[in-house]
Amino acid sequence: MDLLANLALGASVALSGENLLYCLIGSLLGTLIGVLPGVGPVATIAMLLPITFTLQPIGALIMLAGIYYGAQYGGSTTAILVNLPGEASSIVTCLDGHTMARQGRAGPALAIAAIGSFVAGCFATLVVAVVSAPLVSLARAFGPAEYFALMTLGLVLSVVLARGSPLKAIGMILFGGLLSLVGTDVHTGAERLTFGTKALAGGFDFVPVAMGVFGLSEIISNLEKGEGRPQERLADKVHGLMPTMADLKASTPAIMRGTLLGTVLGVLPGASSMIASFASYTLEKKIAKDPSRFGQGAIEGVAGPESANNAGAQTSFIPMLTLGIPSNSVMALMIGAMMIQGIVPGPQVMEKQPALFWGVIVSMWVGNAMLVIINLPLIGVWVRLLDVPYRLLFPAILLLCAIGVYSLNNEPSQVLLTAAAGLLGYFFLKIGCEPAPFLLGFVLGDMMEENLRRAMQISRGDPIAMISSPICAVLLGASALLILSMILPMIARGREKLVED
Amino acid sequence: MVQIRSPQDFVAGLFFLAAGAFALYGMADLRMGTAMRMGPAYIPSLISWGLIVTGAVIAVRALVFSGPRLERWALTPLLLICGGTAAFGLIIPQLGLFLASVAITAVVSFGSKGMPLRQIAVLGLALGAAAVGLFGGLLGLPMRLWPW
Amino acid sequence: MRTKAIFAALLLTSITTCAAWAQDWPKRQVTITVVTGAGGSPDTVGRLIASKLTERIGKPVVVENNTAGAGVTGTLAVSRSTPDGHNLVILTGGTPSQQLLRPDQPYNLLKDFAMVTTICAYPMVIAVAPNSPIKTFADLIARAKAQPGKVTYSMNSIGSLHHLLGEWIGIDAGVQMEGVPYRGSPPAFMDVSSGRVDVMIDTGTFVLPQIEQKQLRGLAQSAPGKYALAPDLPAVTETLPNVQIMSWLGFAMAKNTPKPIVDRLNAEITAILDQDDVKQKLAQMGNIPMPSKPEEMLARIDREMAQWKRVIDAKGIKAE
Repeated sequence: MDLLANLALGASVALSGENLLYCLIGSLLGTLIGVLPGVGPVATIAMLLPITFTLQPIGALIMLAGIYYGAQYGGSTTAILVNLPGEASSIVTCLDGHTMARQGRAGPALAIAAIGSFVAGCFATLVVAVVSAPLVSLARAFGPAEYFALMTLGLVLSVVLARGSPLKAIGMILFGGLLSLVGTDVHTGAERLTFGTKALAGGFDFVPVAMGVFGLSEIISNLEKGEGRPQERLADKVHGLMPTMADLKASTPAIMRGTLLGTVLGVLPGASSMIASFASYTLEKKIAKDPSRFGQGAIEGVAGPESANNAGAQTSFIPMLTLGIPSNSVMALMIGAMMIQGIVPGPQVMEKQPALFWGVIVSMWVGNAMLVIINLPLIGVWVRLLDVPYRLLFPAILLLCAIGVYSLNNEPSQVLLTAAAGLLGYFFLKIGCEPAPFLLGFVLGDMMEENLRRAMQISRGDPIAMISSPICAVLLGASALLILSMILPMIARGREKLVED
Repeated sequence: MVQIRSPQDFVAGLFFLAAGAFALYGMADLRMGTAMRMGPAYIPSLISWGLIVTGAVIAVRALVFSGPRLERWALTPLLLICGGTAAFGLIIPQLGLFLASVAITAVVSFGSKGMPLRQIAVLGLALGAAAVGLFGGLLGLPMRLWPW
Repeated sequence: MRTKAIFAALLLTSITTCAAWAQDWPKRQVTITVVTGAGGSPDTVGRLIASKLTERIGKPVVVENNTAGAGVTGTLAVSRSTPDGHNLVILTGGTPSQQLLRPDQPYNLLKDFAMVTTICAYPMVIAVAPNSPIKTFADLIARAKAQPGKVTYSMNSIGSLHHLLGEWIGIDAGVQMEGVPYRGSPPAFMDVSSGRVDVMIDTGTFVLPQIEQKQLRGLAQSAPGKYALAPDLPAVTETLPNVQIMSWLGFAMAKNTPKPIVDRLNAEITAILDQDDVKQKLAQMGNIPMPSKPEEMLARIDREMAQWKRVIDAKGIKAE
């Protein structure tokens, strides 16, 4: 069979001593740098890109892919350990992952993230190898109207997964959406809500806002609770570095479901990997026997989204490998790197340079294996980090945060924005509003606006076009059902409560 | 007599309401446009009205249903953490990474109770040196390291 | 006699200081600011040049992406940096029209920079999906005439070269097409290649490799005549004789950067652009090398501003 021959060719490339080494170096460097707060996959790759210029194209690509997985996994580590989401898809990991860490279960959380990512990576790599072509047609079927519908579903999911009042979650989504629209409007060039400030013309960036709202406010609230006292630690006494049998049993189905969700959604360009991890979390919470455990350190809440996230990271290669089109900024950077190496990405790569094409695919699997090998032993190190007295730990975390944010653009205003977002996040805590829906609204808001306007423009103002395609109908229908399933019990409860009062 | 039964929700509602109203005010001179050809203010105005309505409902519900009361704000850690971070941003372009790192560490360390000055100084210098070594040396980030 | 001696001494000092400037440079790392995201064409070309420049000048040359303030922040920072030749910014063919659309931006393109050299040039390309019913450029014009405002084309933000070219074609052909703005080329490509949007107007950098790989079909390109890297693609000028644009990338520094440093950089980059592997890599991106003298680069920007002013005024294009 062709596929086997191709995979054998790929294996002969990816498993050569030299390329194994590049893969190892890439995953290791990616993990170590990606673990720094505020330094996400894009920043890590941009930082390490010059190293790869001297390598052969295949070696360079394999190393870059390794850096990407490493940085992504490193970001999850930071989310679990210190509640700092370096990119949008880690927001969900913070919810239960960090809670587990505080309960002394950082080890199992990190391990299940590594295992889930590995399983997801293996499956998704196979998908990339076998069914890239049909999946690309899925990406093509998604126009502005479909993206709008998908993102609507994403927002509804985040309301459903909110722990507290759904009304407040809606308020937070809207507020996040409003903030995302600050800056220059692509359609008209108008500057919106910048109040004449030139620094705001490009809008607010994700990293400073997320760092402030999640990380800074968490540190303030920890200090408030007295964690700054001399011998206080961030985590309870650590019990166990590895997941128990019960953990594994609970996680396995979550990993499977997360992998499937991530694999499909990862093909779609844009914010899909984040929607995948939100969807996976909501799904696990919905079908759990006891949904109240979620947010209190439920391991499925880490296993599912992390698997979804990593599966999506693999399948996001599909548009690049088959069309030469980047599906996110990481892939754009990879394409730039290929260009510098003298390779034009696109459908012809597979025919003209099969060794490169299949070598990279096999190396995806190798890279995922490397990650597990690197990270399982590292868990002990990370967990010991939580054993450092908090009064010594938190200044270091804050410093890393500040440097990470500053390094984005070497722009002091970004650090000031982080400080302001910290204040905002603390205010949210005090009024009992969760930051996750806020950040989701913030990430999706401007994209939804853009897609909606584009859809209306292309359909010449015909609103029926928004629901006429089957994909739109399904996505919007699912959103409507979810809203109903949430509102009906709420009204019933409201009545009861009113009677009690 | 109207009584606020859920102070947290009441404040949250007022906050959303105010945010929506403020945004509408800030966009007063932008064009709305039509659904077919939306102007810059179309969607943000919809969101703002959404915020106002949601905020109002939350605030009114807070008068009917009882809920958690407002806690006191821990002003000291709040000011130190946000202030220290801001200080880092203000210092680094002129004086470089080392001094900015020392400054943020020193400022925020006052947030932990009873940390001796000497310990703060040691921690600040250590973190400053580590930051310069890691980001300036190993990673070679293009940022100013020293005041000169 | 004495005046002469002083004059000679002055001349000598100025020559030696000039020489010293060029010798002193580079004192430390040189930073190239790119105001678009990592992975875009200015970024990729910037990194390519940076890696070559590092070898030649013996100090690291790094690319820094600063997308803050829609690119204004990074450009402003370079214009206000110490004029010692250690901070460069990459300007593009889209920069002149931005100066016209946003006269309130905090720098003046013509006055606040020392131009170094243009790097490379590429035409804008008009393309359709491979199975599109639109067969030729003339066909496109005919359709647009038959259905005013119904033919859609993908473009970048308001006032981008994509937009201005689309409108310029509209003016000269007497038609009205509907520009659909996109943030970057990849999402525009997805909508054009699946037929949701009729036509793509985008940089040669993005479109030419797609045409090469048969994912798009080229209708026309905007170079003054045939374009060397796409000899089969008709020029827009064959139908509309006045409509021609070559977009470009170029380096600029803070004004008052000593002339010897500007000249040294100009010479180094010109030499890099003459290397075969650089030419070949640029060609793969649909670009031809275009080194020029600093004065030529400034004159080019001036000329393009005058040209865009006509289009902008005729169509009443403005940033709201």
